[in-house]
Amino acid sequence: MTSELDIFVGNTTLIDEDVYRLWLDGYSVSDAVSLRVRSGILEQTGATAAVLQSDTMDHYRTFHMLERLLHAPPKLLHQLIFQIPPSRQALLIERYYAFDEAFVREVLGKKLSKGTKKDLDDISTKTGITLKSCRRQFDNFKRVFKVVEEMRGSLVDNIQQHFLLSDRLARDYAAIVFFANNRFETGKKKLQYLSFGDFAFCAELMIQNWTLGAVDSQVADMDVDLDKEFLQDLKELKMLVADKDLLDLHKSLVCTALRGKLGVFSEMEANFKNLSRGLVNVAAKLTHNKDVRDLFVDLVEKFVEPCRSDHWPLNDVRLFLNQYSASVHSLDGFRHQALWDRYMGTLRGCLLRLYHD
Amino acid sequence: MPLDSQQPNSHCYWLTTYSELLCVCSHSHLYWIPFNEDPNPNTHSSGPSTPLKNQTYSFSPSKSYSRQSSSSDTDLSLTPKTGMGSGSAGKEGGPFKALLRQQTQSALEQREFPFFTLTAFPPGFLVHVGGVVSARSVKLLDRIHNPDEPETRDAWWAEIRQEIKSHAKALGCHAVVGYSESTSICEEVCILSASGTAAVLNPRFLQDGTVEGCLEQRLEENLPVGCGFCHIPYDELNMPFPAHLTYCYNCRKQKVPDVLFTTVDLPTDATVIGKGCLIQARLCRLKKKAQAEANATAISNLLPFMEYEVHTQLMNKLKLKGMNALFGLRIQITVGENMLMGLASATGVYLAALPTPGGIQIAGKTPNDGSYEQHISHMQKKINDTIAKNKELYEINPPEISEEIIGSPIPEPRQRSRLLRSQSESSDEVTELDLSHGKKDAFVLEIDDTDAMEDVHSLLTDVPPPSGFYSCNTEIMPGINNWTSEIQMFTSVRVIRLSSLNLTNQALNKNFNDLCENLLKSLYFKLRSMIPCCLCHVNFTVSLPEDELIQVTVTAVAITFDKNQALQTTKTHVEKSLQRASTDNEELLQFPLELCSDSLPSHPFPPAKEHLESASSNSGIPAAQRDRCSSWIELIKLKAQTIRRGSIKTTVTVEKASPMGEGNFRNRSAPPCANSTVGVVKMTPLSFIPGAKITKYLGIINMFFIRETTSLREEGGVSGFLHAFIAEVFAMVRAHVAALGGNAVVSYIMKQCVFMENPNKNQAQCLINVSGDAVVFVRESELEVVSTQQPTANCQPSCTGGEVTT
Repeated sequence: MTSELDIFVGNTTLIDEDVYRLWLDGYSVSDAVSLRVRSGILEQTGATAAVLQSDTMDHYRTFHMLERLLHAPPKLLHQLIFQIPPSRQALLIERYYAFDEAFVREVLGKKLSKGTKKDLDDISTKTGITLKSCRRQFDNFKRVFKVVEEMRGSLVDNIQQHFLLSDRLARDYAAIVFFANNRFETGKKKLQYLSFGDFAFCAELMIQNWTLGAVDSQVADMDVDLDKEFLQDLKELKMLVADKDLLDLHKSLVCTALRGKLGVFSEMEANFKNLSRGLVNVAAKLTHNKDVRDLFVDLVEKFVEPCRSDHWPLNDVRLFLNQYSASVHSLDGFRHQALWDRYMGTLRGCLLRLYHD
Repeated sequence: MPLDSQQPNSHCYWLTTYSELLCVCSHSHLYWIPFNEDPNPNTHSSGPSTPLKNQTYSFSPSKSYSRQSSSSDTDLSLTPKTGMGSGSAGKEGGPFKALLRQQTQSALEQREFPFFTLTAFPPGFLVHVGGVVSARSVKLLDRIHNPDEPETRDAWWAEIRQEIKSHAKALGCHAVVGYSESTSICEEVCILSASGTAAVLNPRFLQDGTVEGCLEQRLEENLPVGCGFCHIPYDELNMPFPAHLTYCYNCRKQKVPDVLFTTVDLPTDATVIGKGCLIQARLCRLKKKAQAEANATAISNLLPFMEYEVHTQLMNKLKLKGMNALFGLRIQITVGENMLMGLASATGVYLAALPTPGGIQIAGKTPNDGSYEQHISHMQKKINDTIAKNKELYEINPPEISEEIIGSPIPEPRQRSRLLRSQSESSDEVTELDLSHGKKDAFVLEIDDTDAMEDVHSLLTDVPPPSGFYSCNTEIMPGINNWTSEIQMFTSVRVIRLSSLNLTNQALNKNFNDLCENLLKSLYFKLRSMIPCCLCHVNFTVSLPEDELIQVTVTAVAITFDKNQALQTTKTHVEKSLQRASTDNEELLQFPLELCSDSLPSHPFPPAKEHLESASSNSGIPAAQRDRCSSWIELIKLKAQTIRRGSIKTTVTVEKASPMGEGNFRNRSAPPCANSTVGVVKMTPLSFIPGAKITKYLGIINMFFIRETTSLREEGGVSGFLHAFIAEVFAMVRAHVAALGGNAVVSYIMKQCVFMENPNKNQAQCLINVSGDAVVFVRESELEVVSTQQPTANCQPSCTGGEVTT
């Protein structure tokens, strides 16, 4: 006796969250069945392995049919084939677009192209995430990227509108799209200590302040591309370190203000010029695409690592950065206050987030 | 027949051959295959030529027993037989009963076939229920002279209906309720089947007077409530078959049989102890491949044995459950190239009016063998344990009744009755045993060969549903009243391929049994999130699309119920069901316009507020309408007409349904397009929606779909193909209903699901026929709010209000 055909169709489509998770994780039906058996479901329900097999097959078939719709979530809401309660629809979408931290760290900032897709094998081996799941996550990134890439309006809003994701997940996707578009290097060894959350935080600050959308909310690509004009202008900041008088004045202002407040005052005093040079040079270099990509590498090299080697507490870093940015306003010979604020305001936030072990 | 009809408590049946029956009436549904050129067309027409050709096996088991209709066609005349039917009634039923019968008879006699396909009736409508009557006939389709004309088919059905009618008459009944007809076709052979429940109806419902009037009168006459329909309609002294009668356990006045089988739903006023459960008998019989006449003969020879065995199984399983009545019995015989399949489904209950069923005793054939004896006693213990467990599971705790009335429920070893098996090889030994003196309330299962062993084993392999789960094939589960609005209708299809090598009857039976059991287990598992719940209206359909393929299609609805209120006393159950019946009467008012069409000629449908007003007022049927509908039957006709008309007049404004409330959407900051415009449409095979009121019937949905694929593998194989197809069928039905302005389909049924595949060609085809009634329903809770707050406002939007099925 062999089973030729075995289906179950409900007027309301049954969604089993556990099976959905297994499916999303890329397990085959037989793997999923054995995982379910291990979860002790047979003992709980008194079912047999055959029943479990049939149930899993049914759910997999349903998910396979739903996948097409999940590629464009508004379609899932408007389709008539599967009657699914809204809360379940939301769950289906949210889970489908959820991603693994380990996976996203591997592809963050990489070009979402065929070339990267070929590397998924290696990523799968490295992270222990099944290739199927890697593909789904990669395709999700790519799909979202393609849809919102050239769109007007806020990146997060666009993602939310076209993929019906929760606010949090939409923000994460905005970061992924932003990183993919600007190709920020995140894979270097010295950046390994940073989590996706760290990058996403920086991405959000940069989207808010450094993109075209920060000045004009009606341009295409407004949130994905950095404001070229702004990056060009950043060259002007170079005088802060090039002009020796200005640098000394800046240092004395900061040191005066922080004397007695900083645990690492002497280290700060000794390193001030190096740090300041580092931060300003990063700004000045951003005109070149290549240097834009290395932004995070530079920040870690030029600022995070020196501070860390001197064991600056986070609070001291905060005090220093605050004072360092604010003091520039008192430099009479410096005219680019607004530019400085736009640059340093974002950079200060990023650096504080990046400064950890 | 090697069966002993002298045994008073054994299963017996007689075989009758009718060969000269002709009567024209409209046929119901007959499948049609192209007419093959017949070189000798005259030989096998409905003339009395070859008996085998036109054999009609009559098998009308009322209770567990079979009734014989005598072998001539004379008792098919429409006049009542005085010996059995109305004439004898006076002797025991008293003058009232006789009067009743006369009145009813005169009302029904004008009808050619006093058959009702309905399965649920208002309280008091069924006066007595005699038992199940059924008839089958094997026909050759290529012998029809004139395949385009319905004459021959009509004649065939008329023959069967006459047969049914005569069976009912022999049971002292003048009507058949819960009547249905079906066919099974394989090549040119066709089995026509009809079955129903013989019943005596209340004449007042059939004559002048309204439903209400009948109810009042019924109460005045003080007929016993909750047990009347169990009382035997036939004469105790002149019984149509050997039966074991006792005084009714409810009223103690009239006689009742020890077991009752019916094809109808449980009457709303019946007193039931505990819960019911789905009981299935499954059976396969191999048959040699043959052509035409030889094939028909082979089938004809197998049929009576199958019927008998199916009944034996049902009886045994009923006993094993500790119950004493079956409702909604549906026996399906399917014919294939090389086998016959029988599947009987019914809902077992414990009727308070009937006696407590005895246990099952098994007896070994070779008592000398020690280890064998041990095995037997082990089995006996298992059976006894199962019965005890089932009684607990289904909460069957009948009140204790003094010994003098009922006698000992467990018989002395020598005083037990027995159950015969139909295997001919076993019956010789069987007749030698004399076990049937005295009390007859236990069954003896005799283990005389491996077949019998298999049978006993199969009795014990039926696994009860997991706790919190109930199942039945009737509309609602006896003993559960507090349904919630959470419903899930589903269709499940399974096809298995038998290994063609060395197929034996036993192997086949086991395969089929496993198929059905696994299917049920799968359903329980899949729907576990709905616990506590009940699978209602479980409808199995078996087909044999190819030699080695068995296809089983199940459609049912799972309804969650409120566990806290589940343990209601039977008293409130009766009250509640009476209430439900009275609301049913109100529901007849859903067509006020049809009833007063001359006063409101311009509107095909009245505004919804009228519905609500009439529905929410508890005054019953307005006088004007009461006059118009002289009887309940008229009302039903009217309802049917309305439904028919409704399906044409689809001028109802389509209410914009936006049922997906924002609040239900989790994790969501509400992007503009998130609000779905797709309305929820509920589907159910039941005639009602729990917790809701149907405010409008929009017409019958009857849709045929045919789908073919030439890329079977690419669509996920047969399962992928059919899964997608059925999902789309549901979607199309829902869309159709939504387009009519409805939000639910009731009485949904999948009439056909014919699936064929050719994997080598990467092809598959499927034909599906579904039907149901499109309706608008309103949640009862919403209805109350609306009717109290703004009784005159148009409440239409709330009809499609935000219900979300899960």
